[in-house]
Amino acid sequence: MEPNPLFTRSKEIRQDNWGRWLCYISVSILLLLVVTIIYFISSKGIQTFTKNHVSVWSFLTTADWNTGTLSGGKTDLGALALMTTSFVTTMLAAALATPLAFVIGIYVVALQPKFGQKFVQPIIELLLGIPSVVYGFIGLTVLVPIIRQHFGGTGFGILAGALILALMILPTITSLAIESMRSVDPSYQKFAYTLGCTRWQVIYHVILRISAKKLVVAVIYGVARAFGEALAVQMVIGNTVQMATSLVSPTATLTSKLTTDIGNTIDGTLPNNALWTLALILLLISLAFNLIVKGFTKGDRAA
Amino acid sequence: MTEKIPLLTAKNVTVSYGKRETVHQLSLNFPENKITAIMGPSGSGKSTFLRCLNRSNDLVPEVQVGGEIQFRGDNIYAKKVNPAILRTKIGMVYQQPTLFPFSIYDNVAFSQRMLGLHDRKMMQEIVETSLQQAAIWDEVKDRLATPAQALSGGQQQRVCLASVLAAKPEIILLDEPTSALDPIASAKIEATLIELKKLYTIVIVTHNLQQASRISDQVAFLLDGQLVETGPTRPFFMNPREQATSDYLNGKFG
Repeated sequence: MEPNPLFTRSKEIRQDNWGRWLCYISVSILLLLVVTIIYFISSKGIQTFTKNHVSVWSFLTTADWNTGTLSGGKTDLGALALMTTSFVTTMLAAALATPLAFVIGIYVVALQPKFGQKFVQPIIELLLGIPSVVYGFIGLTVLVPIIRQHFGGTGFGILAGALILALMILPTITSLAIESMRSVDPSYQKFAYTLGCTRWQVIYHVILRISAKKLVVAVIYGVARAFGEALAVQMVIGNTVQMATSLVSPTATLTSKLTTDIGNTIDGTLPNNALWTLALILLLISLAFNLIVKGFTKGDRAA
Repeated sequence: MTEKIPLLTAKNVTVSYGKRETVHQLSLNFPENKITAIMGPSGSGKSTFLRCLNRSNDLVPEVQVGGEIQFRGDNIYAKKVNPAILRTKIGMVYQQPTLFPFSIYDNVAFSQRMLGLHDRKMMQEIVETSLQQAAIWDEVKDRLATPAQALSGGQQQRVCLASVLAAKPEIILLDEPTSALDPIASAKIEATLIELKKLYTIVIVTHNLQQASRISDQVAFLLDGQLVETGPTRPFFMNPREQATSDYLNGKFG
């Protein structure tokens, strides 16, 4: 008797099942990795507070980074200077890079799409691919001496860090901005011209207005990248844990402190635990950036 | 006695995309407060020609326009012409209803805002008048603040028309405005256009012979970028002079 073809198990069906399982396994590995990383950093990071009895409050609100133990078992360990420098450097970098990135974006999307696509975009992609250590090297050998000459100090500090970071996040923000502006339906531009818009009015009232949310997200991604950048910053920031008194006084960021000290501490001791706490702070802040982006794109059909 | 200056005339208009000429030596007069229908099969250059009339072709790269188009006696392709202002005087409605992802009110108010009008009361008046002229006011008056893109296709097209009217044009160009709409929505637009010709001069590109015969006063028939025949609508449909026109009207091609 012929088997009923309705009940045969074909090779193609097995392929489907295989594919499904492959996806499940990959996603599970991803989830497992995320959970273990968060668990690992958190468990290490809170030891500063649980094992070494540093108070959370003083860690977040004092500026002295002293990993030794003072008389009477007291500690004097605070990350405020690091956090402040991180924030100021990042914000300054974003403030420098954003206007430039938007103008380049407008040029590529609305003014010279052909030239922009052929020449400007490849240049931006090239900049994206340069390793951060190279940016840091340029900063160290070119930027720092110039700043020393013209603004005084040693040349190391927030200004040098912010300039290098601005250069690094410029391609990030620019390429995301180009993408956002390009996603504005061309028929809107046509309609706007029909209604008597000049080119600038089309750019401002149509392209920028409609892509505004996505542009904010582009800036946040740039800020997140600047905040997490370690190597290039470490090379030009000065690496002295102190509140910066000016834009050209040596200081340190959360990330630069981590890269500087990571090889010089012993596992399980306070100096090592304190670094893990910095890592935890970085993790929480990048999580915050993610949530902000999520909040912004919520309810957006296109995003 | 001086002769009255015609509102809009095309004289020997040629259009080429790069090296390819798609409209050849086309001359046509558009009488005031009349509806002129431009007909012809696909690729006959009718939309291209229409887009010349308010310099929408400026936005398409590699388009060259020769000849002269006069609006109240002035060549609109003259150097001193401000194309943005020109487009408010000669508005255009496209085949696909296009509206910004803003509210209905903001869409209709857009052109006046671009022209620098900020007076709230005047703006409200213009928006209301425009929506009334486009025969959509009653359907949207209670939801002017809601997104325009939530409306149906036919409603969107009439809001488009209202947005164009808000710029206070003298001439309205329509590029197959009903071909993306169902028959009922199309009929509403047609009725609206017949009302509007009292106030405006209308040029409509259409594929639809019945539509042209129903609403137009004058017809121009284009074939391969050339004007084959033009004249008042009734005689055009009843006894066309040219063999090509007759073939087209009888459905032999197109």
